[in-house]
Amino acid sequence: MAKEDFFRKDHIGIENNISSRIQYLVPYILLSPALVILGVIMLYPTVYNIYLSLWEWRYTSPGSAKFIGLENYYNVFLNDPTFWQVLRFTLLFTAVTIGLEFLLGIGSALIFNNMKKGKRVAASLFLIPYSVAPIAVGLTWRLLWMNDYGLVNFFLKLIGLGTVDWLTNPVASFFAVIIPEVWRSTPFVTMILMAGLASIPEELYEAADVDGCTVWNKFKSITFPLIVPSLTIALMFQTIFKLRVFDLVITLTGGGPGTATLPIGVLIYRTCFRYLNGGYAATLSVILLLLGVIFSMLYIKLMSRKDV
Amino acid sequence: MLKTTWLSGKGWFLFVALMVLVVAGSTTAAPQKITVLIHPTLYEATGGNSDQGVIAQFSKRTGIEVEVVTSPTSDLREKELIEFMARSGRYDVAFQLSSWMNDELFQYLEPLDTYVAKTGKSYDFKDIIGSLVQSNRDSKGKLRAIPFRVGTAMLYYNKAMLANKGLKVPKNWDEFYDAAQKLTVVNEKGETKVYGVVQTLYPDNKDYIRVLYGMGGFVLDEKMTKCTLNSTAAKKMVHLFKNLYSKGYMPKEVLAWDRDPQITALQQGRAAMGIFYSPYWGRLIDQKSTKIADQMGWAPVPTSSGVPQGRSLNDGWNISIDKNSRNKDLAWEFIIELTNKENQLIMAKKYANGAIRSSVYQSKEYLAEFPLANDWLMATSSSLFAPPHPRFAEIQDIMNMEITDALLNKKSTEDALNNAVKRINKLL
Repeated sequence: MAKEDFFRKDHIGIENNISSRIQYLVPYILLSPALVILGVIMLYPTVYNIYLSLWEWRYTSPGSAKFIGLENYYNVFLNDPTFWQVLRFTLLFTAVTIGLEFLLGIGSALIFNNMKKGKRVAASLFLIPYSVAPIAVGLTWRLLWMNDYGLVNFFLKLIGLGTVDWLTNPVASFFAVIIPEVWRSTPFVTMILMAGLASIPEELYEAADVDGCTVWNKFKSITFPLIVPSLTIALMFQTIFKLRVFDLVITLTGGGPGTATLPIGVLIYRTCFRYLNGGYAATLSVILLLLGVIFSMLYIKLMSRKDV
Repeated sequence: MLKTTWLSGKGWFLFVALMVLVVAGSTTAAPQKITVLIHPTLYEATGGNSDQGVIAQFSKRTGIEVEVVTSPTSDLREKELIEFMARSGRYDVAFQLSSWMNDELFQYLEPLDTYVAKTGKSYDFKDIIGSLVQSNRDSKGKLRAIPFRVGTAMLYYNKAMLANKGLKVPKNWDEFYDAAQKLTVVNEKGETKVYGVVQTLYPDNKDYIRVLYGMGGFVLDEKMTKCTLNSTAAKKMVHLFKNLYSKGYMPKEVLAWDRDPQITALQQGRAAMGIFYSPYWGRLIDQKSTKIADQMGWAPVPTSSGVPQGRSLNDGWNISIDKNSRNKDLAWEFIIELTNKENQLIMAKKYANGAIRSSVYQSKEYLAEFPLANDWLMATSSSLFAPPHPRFAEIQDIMNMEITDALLNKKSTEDALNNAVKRINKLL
């Protein structure tokens, strides 16, 4: 072998080595700007928040902050009766709104999916509530729920049902918060399920027709199993949105009467910006984060089981 | 090849000189400007965005541009605290409620003693009500804010409704309850057309405290180390609200109302009486907002026997300079403008602002237009501010939550107050 050939071969070998390493690193290099941004806006605040939750810290007295370890968590779980009330309301609110949204969402998605004419127009109109800002929804429904001059009580009186103290009765106020939230969020569920329904092959329904399946059997055996992935994704998003509900409640009831409609999101806001208790607010938000993580993991496990 | 000789030598010199002129010109040409963070009602009390308003006149006279940022009470506190802590100097001048004035907030405000010392005789600092100035001093005695407005709770009532029922203005709580009962009008369908009383019991309200003080009670002891809500006065206060609420003399919705629906109910003749903050008087006698402006009256809040007449909760607003402001001198000029004798009188007469100067209440001009001023002054003198405890917002919320539970019959009055005492004492 000529000397030049030998060196060229080595040179090519080294070149190949470097080239393959660069090729290996390229995706990471290309991802790094996004990862840096995510790290700054998501990872750093989350980690810092967890760190803050271990301190007794008031915003207006940063100099007198004290490291207290898990004492904030101890106080939340064992010394704060409001927290358990708030947690109970948040979980109940989440469960009821999601249940209703899914029933209505599946129903409306099926109706739109089976429409021959005007499907796009109808679906677009149906989406309008979702495009309204939650604050506007809260303020509008607050007027609708007013006892003496709200539209809802006006119609209830008209049909002889009498008035309801929607905003001031602890039981009625629960529904006063649920109904606008369901009204606003159901279109989101419908949208996701419509996408899921659109992906189901027509041939399956044709085959089912040939076999003489009823509408219910078709839904049970074809439609529902095939929209489970879409359903799970919608469920996961909605659960996280409901757990951290804030703007609708704060404009509609402020968490009242008393603490009857006080969710964790509003409690965190109050603790941080009204009571100026940064450490305790950080603790509550870590607990909310953990709740979100637990639910997300459950849904992901459910999804992966279905895939298998 | 292009010749670029215009960029060399003389060209560069001319270019740089031009840039320096532009920058210097833009700096000198830039108007003097301050940013003020203020509550919308206080802004209205200065005349708002009217050309004749105090702020517009100040800008016209001094050439200082004033950027006004308005924000409701709770958001205002957040906004200014966030900017103070961030040391942004975003708001040169900010307003604060009297109940926020403690060392925790004072650390962010510019000390004003040297500014006050430089004011002339015409400003007459001593004319400002002494107790208001005192509450703006930090624990080391440094002045951190100047009072802008002071108000107390007054009993607002519809004169015509009281006269129709042959009732006198209530002076004690039994008369108050009796009047509420008689003034409530229910039609044959069982619909309440007129409520005897309207209050606002929205989650962060102060109405419980207003009545508590009028009954001789307190939230905390003098040293602010113990909660005193298990007193007889506190129990009486809760019983009064419970009875008014359960008997329908007060709308059920007061638990969801903030100030605006309460005032609207009085303006529309759907309510006969209400106890709330005195500076809102201007809205109730505003001919543009209500057809029954001439029917409105006010009196000191009813009190229990042995309690100074008119005692209730004082509330005030103060005006201060951010320590990190880059326009402190301009900010101080603005503060002088809003708190001098002339403008305090104008704001009191024209916009029903609660003046902070004794001379306003002694002015014949003011008394001629506002004969009820003496009642107001008497009530303010016998009333008290909320305890300036750094955690008072939390204390107030605990008290409100427990009392609301009692109103809704989720707890007895005693249990609610005992719970409140237990939880508040833990905080203290």
